[in-house]
Amino acid sequence: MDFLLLSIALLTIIWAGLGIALLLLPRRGRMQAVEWFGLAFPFGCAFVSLGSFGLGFVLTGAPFKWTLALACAAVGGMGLIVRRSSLSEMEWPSLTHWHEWLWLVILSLQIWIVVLCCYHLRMGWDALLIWEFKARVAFFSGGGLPLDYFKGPVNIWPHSYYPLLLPLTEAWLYDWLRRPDQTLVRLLMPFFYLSALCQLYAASKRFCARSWQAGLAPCLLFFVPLAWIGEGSVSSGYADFPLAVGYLGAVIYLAEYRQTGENKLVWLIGLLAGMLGWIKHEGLILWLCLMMLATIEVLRRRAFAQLAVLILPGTLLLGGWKIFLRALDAANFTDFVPVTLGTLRSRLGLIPQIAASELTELLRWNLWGILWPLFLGAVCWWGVCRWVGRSRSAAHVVMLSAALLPILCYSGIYLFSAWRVSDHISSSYTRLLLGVTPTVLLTALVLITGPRKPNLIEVNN
Amino acid sequence: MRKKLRLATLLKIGAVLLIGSVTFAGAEFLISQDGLPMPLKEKLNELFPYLAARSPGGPSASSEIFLGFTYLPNPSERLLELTRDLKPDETLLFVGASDEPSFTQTFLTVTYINWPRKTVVLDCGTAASSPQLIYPPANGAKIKRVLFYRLPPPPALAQSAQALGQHLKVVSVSEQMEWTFYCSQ
Repeated sequence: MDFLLLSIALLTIIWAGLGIALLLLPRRGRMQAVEWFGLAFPFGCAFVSLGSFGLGFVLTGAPFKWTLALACAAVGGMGLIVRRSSLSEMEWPSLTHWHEWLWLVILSLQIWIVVLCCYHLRMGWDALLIWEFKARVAFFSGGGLPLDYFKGPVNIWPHSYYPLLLPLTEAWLYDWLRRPDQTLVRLLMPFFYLSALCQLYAASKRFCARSWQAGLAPCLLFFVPLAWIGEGSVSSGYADFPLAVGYLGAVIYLAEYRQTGENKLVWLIGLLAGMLGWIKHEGLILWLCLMMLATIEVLRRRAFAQLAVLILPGTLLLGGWKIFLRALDAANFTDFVPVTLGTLRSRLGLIPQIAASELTELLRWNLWGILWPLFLGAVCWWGVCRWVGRSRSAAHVVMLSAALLPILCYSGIYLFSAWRVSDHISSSYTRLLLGVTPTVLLTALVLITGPRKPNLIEVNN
Repeated sequence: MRKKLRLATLLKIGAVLLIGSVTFAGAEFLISQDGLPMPLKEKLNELFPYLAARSPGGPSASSEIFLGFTYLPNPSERLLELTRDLKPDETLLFVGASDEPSFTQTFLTVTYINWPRKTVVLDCGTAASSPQLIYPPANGAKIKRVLFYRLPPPPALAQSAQALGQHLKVVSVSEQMEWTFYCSQ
């Protein structure tokens, strides 16, 4: 019975996400089913969590649950009705070549291992005592978080000011299960991994030169152990991997926008980027990086009206959340000193220490596996190709910038740490980098295997 | 020719299923670690320390591990049995010393399990520091139960203390005392 109820809860999330993804994906030839599924889960979680947050203030218990379930059904149904022509022309993955079979087996195995890890291993500290705790509070409060939760010093530890995408999605599972369950709730996480695999596959198919290379990036994700095991990984139940999935999606559409200039992609970039701050605090940095890169692109194309579409979703979501917390005088806690020029000047001497600590973290091969050697090799290869004039794809530059910019920002923020810098870096740096890991991997693969000349879409444009 | 092709396809599917089943079973064997030889288990856990964080499964799988120091079966449920009757204006007081191992993890886990009932945390400090309230109580909240972590209760309460495993002791209180009283071991 538990698995049936859990399946219903997960299906409502996926159904809503499928509808939203259908409504947002541009009409550009045949729609890829893999891409559609890849986007459905993050969008579904965003819809359910935002719905729970809003609805939780007016309804509780069964009315809350059924209203939200109906809303999910309505959004999913609307997407299917509005885009039914796209559905009939949908491109489903075929299994005609040997490499497609190979990818299927390897990717299924990865998913299976992730499911096993989620089921067999315990949650990490933050996963239980910060993220899942909020889900528990929401469940005991009838679905949403009560206003009282955000006030008062008693809530400092559970970080009541942390964003709510993951906890309220977990609470949605509890609403259906009718009890909190620390084991079953973790079956939510493999769907984020599956979403990352689907997005990597669909993007590789678009950006790599040959069709057999489409499975490389999703397969190689498994060779970055931190993606599926360890503090911050998908199996630990932290919000870092969902953040990485959202960022990956936004970067893929930004690169495509660079290639095609299709205005409807700006909606996708804006919404996926805006969602990042609703997943985790660090999402704000990723949002700023994306906004910077996307704004350059929008201005280059003189599509000034698109600027509002790009910036508005994130501004409304993050701004609204901040205003809500401030209005309630929610307990806040910061790990950083105020960012001022004076502080920066006084702390410049920390740079060698920060660099050394970060390098130590980057060299932990049991966490990163093939990631950094592959990325370094890809950048060198791409540099050589560009130097001899064999690489001209503009999407490469966008992806590379999107991979490097957050890493540089992350290094910079430790200058303002309120902790002892080495402790702060050792406790957080790897998890920060996990947010860009799938993007770094895709970038490396695209730089190595991507077309050496502008592809057809670019030429036509 | 057609027959041969069909046979070849069937053979391919068979091979995929065979390889798939073996690798899937292998993955399950490695991760569940049931019956895995000890040296391999140790090597695996050394390589991926997180693999050692086994979960017994169940609704409180992870919090049970955080309360593993009690050496009790179902410690979360046992703790709940002792606090379940607390009314909305009544509070559980967690008393410990911050220099004790896992002090923070334990009071957070207790706060987590006890929710939606309130928990107040008192750090009795070290030799160099004085007692302080980490989570102060809400206005008008009464202390109804006190949980001592790796500290003996004050002599006046020792008689009525109930042990919850090795390092936790629970006492019901009716009178409201000064905070420092609970640190007077």
